Amino acid sequence: MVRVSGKLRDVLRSLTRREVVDQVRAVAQPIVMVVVAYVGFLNNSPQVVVVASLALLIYTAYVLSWYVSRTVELRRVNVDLRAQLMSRGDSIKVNAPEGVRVRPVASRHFEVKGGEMTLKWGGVARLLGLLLTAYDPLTGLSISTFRGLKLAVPTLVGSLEGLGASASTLLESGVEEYRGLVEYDYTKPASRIHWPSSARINELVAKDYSEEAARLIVSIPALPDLLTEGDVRPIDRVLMALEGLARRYGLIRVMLIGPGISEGINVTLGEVPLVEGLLVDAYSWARDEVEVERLSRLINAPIEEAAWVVYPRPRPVEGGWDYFIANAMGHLAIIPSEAAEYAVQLRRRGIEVLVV
Amino acid sequence: MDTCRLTLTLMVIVGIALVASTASIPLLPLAVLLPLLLLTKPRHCQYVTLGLASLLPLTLLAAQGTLPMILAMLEELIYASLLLARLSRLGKLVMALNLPASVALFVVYYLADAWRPMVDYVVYLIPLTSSQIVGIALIDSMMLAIISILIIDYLVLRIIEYRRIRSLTLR
Repeated sequence: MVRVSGKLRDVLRSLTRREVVDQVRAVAQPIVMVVVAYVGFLNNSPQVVVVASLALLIYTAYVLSWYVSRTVELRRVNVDLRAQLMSRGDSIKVNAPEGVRVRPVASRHFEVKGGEMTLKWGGVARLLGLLLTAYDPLTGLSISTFRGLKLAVPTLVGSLEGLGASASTLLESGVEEYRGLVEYDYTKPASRIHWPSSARINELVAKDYSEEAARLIVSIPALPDLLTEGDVRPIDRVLMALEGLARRYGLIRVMLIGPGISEGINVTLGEVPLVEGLLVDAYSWARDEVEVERLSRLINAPIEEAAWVVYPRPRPVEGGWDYFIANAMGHLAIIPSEAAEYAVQLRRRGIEVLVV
Repeated sequence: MDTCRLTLTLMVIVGIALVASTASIPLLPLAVLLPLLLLTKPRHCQYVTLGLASLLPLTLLAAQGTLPMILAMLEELIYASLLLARLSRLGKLVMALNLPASVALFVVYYLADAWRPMVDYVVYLIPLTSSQIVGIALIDSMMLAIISILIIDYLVLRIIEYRRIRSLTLR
């Protein structure tokens, strides 16, 4: 008896005052109606019994309807994820019915305000699930449920405009594809004139660039680690992130950078899967040391021949990742979560990092 | 005027009519006091309506008749409309199933003598008057109706859940 009363005291202590009042109310309200019905029975008044029974039936129908509808509605709650890839400042909205309190269980990338979660950091934000509570103030009833989601949202640090001065410089200078030298067109900026060639032939010659310009340069590590077989290979996550970027920016320039490899390719959304093939090719070429040496000689060759611009072989001390960190370029680097420790070094070099 | 205030006003009007229809002198002060309930704060409105719906049937103790009975039932139905307004769209649908089903089951159980085994047992233990037997038969029918509707709702929930899992699997 003492043990039971002790447990009861512990339970009461763990509840808030409102919870205790709600529990009492939830029990007391139907009891009052039953008591009124019994009063009618004891006073030989079937009319009181009928009306009190009707009141109790209405109340029970309401409680059950509330319970059934809320249970179904809570199971249908989902999140409004507008894109696979999001930026800092974007928000994710939980489509919860009115009167349902939503408490997301999420990584600290999110700033939670009610049912709306705003991404405050870059990286991979994780949303484990939602703790949903429906409460009915009239009856004092509440239902709580956990809706597991296990969402991983790749998040850019910010929109392209917000990436800083280094990003805008890159956008102006190195994004367009260089084609070769052409006769200078006076409508084009004078900065495009190639003065050494102009002096040689005594005519103004300008550098020709393709009209289409990538809005974003993304470096990805051309390392065998990315292709490791498993349930989800790191390259798959990288490709997913690239797809998200291509969807957002249209044309993006992907730089494959690894020991002995440096290759840039402009891709649109439909061409993103090509990157994997390119990576496999690049890696298989780079593994062949003789081939690397042969390609290294192509650095000074005409641009048509130098499809592969191979950097000098890395120094023995430089491992794959160290080489990537030292040579990554562009606005953004995509690295798998297994190599997340390199994110700080890349950021220090002014390159935003997306860990996938 | 919000739904609750409107319902409370209607309940007070019907309540005054109910008290008046009983023609009971001790209850007359209640008819005068009922309008004071309209002064309650909006956030307490729902509790006042619930209290009225629960306790006003007691006025029928003063006088038994068709008119008070109809007015008391009307009072309960007004309260039901407030409860209906509180529910979401899906809740309204379930309530539209639950409420008629509860009342129908209550009437069917009463008319089909579903209460007889229990009442026979009670009468075997305690001698009851005929009106008390009617009363306990009504209470038994109500309990049976509530248990039935509980089972029906449980099955509805299971069916919805089964359909959801099936649709997810098929997808």
